[in-house]
Amino acid sequence: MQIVASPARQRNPDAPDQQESIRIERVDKAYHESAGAPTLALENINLNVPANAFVSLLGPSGSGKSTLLKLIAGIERPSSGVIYCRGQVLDGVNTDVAYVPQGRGLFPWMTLLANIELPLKIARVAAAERRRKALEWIERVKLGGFEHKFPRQLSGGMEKRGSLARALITGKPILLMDEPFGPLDAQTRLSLQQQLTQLWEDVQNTVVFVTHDVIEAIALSDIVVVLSPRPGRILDAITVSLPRPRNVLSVPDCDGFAELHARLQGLLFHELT
Amino acid sequence: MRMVHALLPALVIIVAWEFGAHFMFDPRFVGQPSDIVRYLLAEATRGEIWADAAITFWEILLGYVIGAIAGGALGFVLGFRPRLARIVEPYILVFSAIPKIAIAPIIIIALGIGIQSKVAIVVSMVFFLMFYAVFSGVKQIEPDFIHQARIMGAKRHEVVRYVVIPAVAPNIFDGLKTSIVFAVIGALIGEFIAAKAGLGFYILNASGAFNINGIWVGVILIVALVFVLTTAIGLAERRVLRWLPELDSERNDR
Repeated sequence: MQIVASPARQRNPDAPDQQESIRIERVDKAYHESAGAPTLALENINLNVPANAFVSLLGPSGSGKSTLLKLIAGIERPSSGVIYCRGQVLDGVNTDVAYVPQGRGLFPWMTLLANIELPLKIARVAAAERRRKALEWIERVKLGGFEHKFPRQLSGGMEKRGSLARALITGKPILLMDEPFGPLDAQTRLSLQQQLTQLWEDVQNTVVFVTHDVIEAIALSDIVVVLSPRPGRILDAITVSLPRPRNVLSVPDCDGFAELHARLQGLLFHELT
Repeated sequence: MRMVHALLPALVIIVAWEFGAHFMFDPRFVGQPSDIVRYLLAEATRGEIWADAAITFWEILLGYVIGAIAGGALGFVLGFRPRLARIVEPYILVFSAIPKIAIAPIIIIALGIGIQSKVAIVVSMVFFLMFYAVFSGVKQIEPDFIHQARIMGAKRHEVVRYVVIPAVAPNIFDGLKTSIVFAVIGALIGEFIAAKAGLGFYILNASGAFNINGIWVGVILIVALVFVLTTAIGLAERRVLRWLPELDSERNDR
């Protein structure tokens, strides 16, 4: 069963992969406060996100990386410029994506199972089918036995895994994640990074992942896009050619990691001084 | 065991009242639990008081339901239309600031001394409470939740069903709970001013006849009514809001 937002946008598994998933052209984003000049959050963003690549948006706070993700999700509109998603101009909420937000991921008023079933319910998947798939995903993110718990009864890491399952169950071609592991402790972060890597190497959809953590960006990504602080501009897009499958724990020991790390730190640090 | 602990203070007060009424006050002025119970049983078997209770019950229930739905609906709509809300809100504020007891006579003159005027007074009290509860609830919804649902492809009615209503449900229940007492006050105000029947009318008659036990019997039935309504809302709340941490165990033990 293929989950689709609308018949017109049906994803045909036999069609050749499109080369680019998201194309952003000359995008600015300004916020108009009631008084004073508008604040420019993003300035002249040009970016191609190749299909089936894991791309990180790396930048300090105030670099507009979350804003850029919201623009791709279609929940905010660019002040100028165009965003193409899979060949079409993005106009309105982007239903080709699944979105893992920064804060609490799951709806607190639904059990884990209901949360994970929800996107399928909205996509009109038959009840038995969506139950089966939801249980399968709950197993895949190792949350078996917690189906009927409410989010507040789960730990932060467990809720994030649930949130990830809810995003991936949709089968949407693009996954957007906004600093998903930000507030978690170091051990949980590492373990979730590893789980995400394994899940992604399985699924291989397009991911845009927002982070301010250099090591996280390197460990997870194929491409790291570095943004400058306010107004956010793209400083560079660096390809990470570390081999896959990856082990997040041993990434820092890989050949080339040190140079990459130094280069990214240099870009970020240069902008901060 | 908890039940016993909860009832102990009530028991102490009733016993103190029973004997205090004998030795310290005059039972004719303050009543006496044993007399009140005797009178209550007599009235209950005589039966006429049930008609009064039923009328007050319907006044409260109708006014409560109409006021809650209308106030809640307006709060809901204005919560999503901030521009319209900025225009309408000052008017709502003015109307809600009017003491309902002051305009109750107008309502009774307009609608007569029957049940309609009492229902209208109850509506006027419940409406504003529910309006503000739902209005502020809608404004507090995390935009992220709505965005998530829309990205999943949810249509407007699905966003309302899966996000807005559950997110506002705690506010709705808070509004419903505070409204109960005000609904009862509204009905009694109406019946005190002019009525042909009802528990307020019953109390007024009893006090006119210097029948202290009668007043207490009326009060007991009103308290019972509030208790029934509060319990019903509380049960519904516990079912619907299972996901809220506060409703887990300690709270809502009344």
